[in-house]
Amino acid sequence: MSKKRNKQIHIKWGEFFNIYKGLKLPWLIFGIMIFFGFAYGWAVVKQAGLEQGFMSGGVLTTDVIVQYLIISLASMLIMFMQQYVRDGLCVEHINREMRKKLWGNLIRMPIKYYDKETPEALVSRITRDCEKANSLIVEIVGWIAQLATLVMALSALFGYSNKLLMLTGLAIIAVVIYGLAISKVSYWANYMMQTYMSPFTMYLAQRLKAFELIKASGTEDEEFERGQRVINDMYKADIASRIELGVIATYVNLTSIANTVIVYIGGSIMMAKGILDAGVLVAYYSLASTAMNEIMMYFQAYVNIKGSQGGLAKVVRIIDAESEDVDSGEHIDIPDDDIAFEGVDFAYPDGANVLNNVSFTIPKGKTTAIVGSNGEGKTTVLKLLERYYDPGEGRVMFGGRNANEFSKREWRQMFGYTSQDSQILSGTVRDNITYGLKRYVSEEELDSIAEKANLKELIHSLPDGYDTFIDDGGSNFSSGELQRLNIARTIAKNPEYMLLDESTCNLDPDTEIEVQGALEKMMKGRTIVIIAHSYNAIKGADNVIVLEGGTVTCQGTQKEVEERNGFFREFVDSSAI
Amino acid sequence: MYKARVEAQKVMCAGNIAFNVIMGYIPNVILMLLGASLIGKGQLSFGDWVMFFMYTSRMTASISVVIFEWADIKGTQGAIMRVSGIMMNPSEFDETYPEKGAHEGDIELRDLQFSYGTKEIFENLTMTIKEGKKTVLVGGSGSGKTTLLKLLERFYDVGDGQILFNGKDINTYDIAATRKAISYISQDAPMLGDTVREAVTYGVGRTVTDEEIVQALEAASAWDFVQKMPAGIDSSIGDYGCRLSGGQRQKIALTRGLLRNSRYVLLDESTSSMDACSALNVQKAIDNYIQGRTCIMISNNVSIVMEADEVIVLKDGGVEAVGDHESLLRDSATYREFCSQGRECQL
Repeated sequence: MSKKRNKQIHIKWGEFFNIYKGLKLPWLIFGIMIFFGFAYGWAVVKQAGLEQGFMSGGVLTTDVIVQYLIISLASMLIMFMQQYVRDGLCVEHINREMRKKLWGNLIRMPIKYYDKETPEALVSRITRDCEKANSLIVEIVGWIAQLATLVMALSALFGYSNKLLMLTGLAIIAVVIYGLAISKVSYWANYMMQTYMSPFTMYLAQRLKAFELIKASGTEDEEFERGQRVINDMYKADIASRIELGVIATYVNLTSIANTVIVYIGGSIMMAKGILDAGVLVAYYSLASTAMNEIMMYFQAYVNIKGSQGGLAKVVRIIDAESEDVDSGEHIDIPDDDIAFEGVDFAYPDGANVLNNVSFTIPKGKTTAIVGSNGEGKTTVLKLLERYYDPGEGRVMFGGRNANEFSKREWRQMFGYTSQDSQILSGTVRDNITYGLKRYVSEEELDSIAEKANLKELIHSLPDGYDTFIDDGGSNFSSGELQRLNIARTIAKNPEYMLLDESTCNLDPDTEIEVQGALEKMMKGRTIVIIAHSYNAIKGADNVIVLEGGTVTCQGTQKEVEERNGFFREFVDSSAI
Repeated sequence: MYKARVEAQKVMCAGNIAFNVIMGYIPNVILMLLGASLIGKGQLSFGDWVMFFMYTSRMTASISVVIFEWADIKGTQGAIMRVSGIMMNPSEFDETYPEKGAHEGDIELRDLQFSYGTKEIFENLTMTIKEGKKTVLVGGSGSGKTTLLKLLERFYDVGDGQILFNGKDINTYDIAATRKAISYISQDAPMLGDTVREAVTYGVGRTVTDEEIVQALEAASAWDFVQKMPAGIDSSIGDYGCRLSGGQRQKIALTRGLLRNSRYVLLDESTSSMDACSALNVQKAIDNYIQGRTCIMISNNVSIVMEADEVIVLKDGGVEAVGDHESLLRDSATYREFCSQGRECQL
């Protein structure tokens, strides 16, 4: 078990608190929680005093009864408010603030952070892990509030019977030792959960997405078996967490029983000897129960914090991710110019070098085609052009200056990127075309944009026109229509530089012609960088850059490259059988 | 989200806490006062009072448990409904199928009618796919090419009409046997498994040697890039192959198809994301592989379509024309249009 524990994620307390930096914490509510801690301690002591009075055979006057009822009601209310403020207001408030902060960080991280995790994992950062992470601060404030109650109850105990106090002291030591033991059980249960829970959900998510593949492969039986295995593992983890719950429940019960046994047995012996009276015993019992209870809750809180470390560590990674600084850097005040790669090396975080010492020039106002086999880094070049990543070595130059000097926001504003897969957000056609535009777009302008994207007729034939809702994933539009919507968005952005990434690859010929037509209209008068895997799409290109083995083997006008480069000749030939 | 939660949380939380606090306090207060008064009057001994006090606290705890269990049971009803929804769905493997023979021979489609809900795909489809030949399906988007492959895989039941293997209705064959007889590579090249090895051997149903895997990867032009990966065929490909480019995914999916070694091969745009040179090489490998097998392909690449033994043109929910490249150029307007638009065609 100890070996397993070492694998758990441990983070430093400094990092713990870092995540709350800059968060709007509900200090007022914290203050109220601590105030309630004191108030509760006061009420408990007061109540015990009254109990002592009337249980010692004192007179039960109406005055005493009223006082006792009032103080009981008060401590009930305080108890209620204390828990309500904590679970009902404080936790949710911090969750909201933390979610806002996490979302802000997520959306501003550089792209390389997104590559590391699946969208599902990032979703659970904001939903589940975030809640776990927040339990920490609430527990800590809870500690302070409880400490107030505990100190007041303990110090009141000193006034009663020192012999009983010694016995209670022994019980407290037992509670502490048992509490430490419980935290070990919790480690183990949490470890089991962390180990088996995520493979379980991952397995389910993966298989359910690839249903057709499973059916076509006839692997239902194998998947059934495999599913049984992950379900069995999940069972082990569930049992572990049940054991944990059981141990905690016995802890709660044993604490209260230990208290009762010690106080009443010890107390009755002392009463028999005539050194203790019934009132003191009752009052002592009330106070000791409160004190033991508070100590027990300390350990439960401790266990909770330990359990939240995993979630916390994941949240810390996002909070710590430097957010992409899109605004700093210089204003781009030079007109369109050539863009040049100078000795650029690039590797993705987990892979081999994709680009090696790549140098080329993209002349302004011309169409430049990048050709090369699959996986030679063509798409990477476009991503570097957009500055989604920084080159490892070398520079991207613009108008004789390093591209890094300019603000990323303005830089990306110059580029329109149409990628292999259409990126469609849920919303209306209008939302999708005008996405990212910070100005009002009139109906006429929309029409002229749609016209250029060969979409006008289609949109006008829809009952709701531009306000037609696009279903999740665009399922109510064909792939060609979605591509043209993407193109329309790029036209609306009106960029100086156009990056086209195998834009027409998955389309049938009719659709390809429609899309190609839209593209040609859009390309006029701009600087174009295009990647395509068939020669037809790049026939009109002025310049060609050939990427082979992650490096530029040839560049120049189409004619020059065709004369000098074997790969490009083959590329042209294979497209013209 | 926050607002909804806070509202729900406020009510639930307040209710729970109030319940706990009241259950914990009221009996104590009553016992204390009543006890003090009875002991004072001499009607109750202190010992009896302590006993009574203990019993009461145990009892209130038990009552709370019962009440919370009841609330729990109420809460599970919704979940039970959703789970039973899945439990009630039929299994594809419940039926017994009379036909024990292997799948072989021509595939015939007779007066087939099929629709997705209200969207009609096939109105009246009749065709024969000849054994051992390469048949290519051509047609605009929405003409039902992919749907046809899915019907052969028996992902859906046909509406009216029949699909026949060797003259026998497809529904009389064991469904698992049908799918075993077919390699279906769908357009999005799906894959399961963490490594290249797992992805290409998925559902192959036999042990495959490393040499065999490498051979198949070579045939699908995938060995070049797999070789360069850090751990060769045991390299990680990420979730659903997300570390691979579109063309690489298609090559891996094809490799799996090759290793499955089945009698019928269904290929849906299997080279669409590859660069022109790869696509050509891969197509050669496919042609090699399908020698003696029955292959049904969907392709927009005219140079691939030209090489087919038979081309079936789908239009308006039925078959518009059947024939080889030359005859269709003569007879089918749709096909002529397809060729003239096709990007890799030279007429």
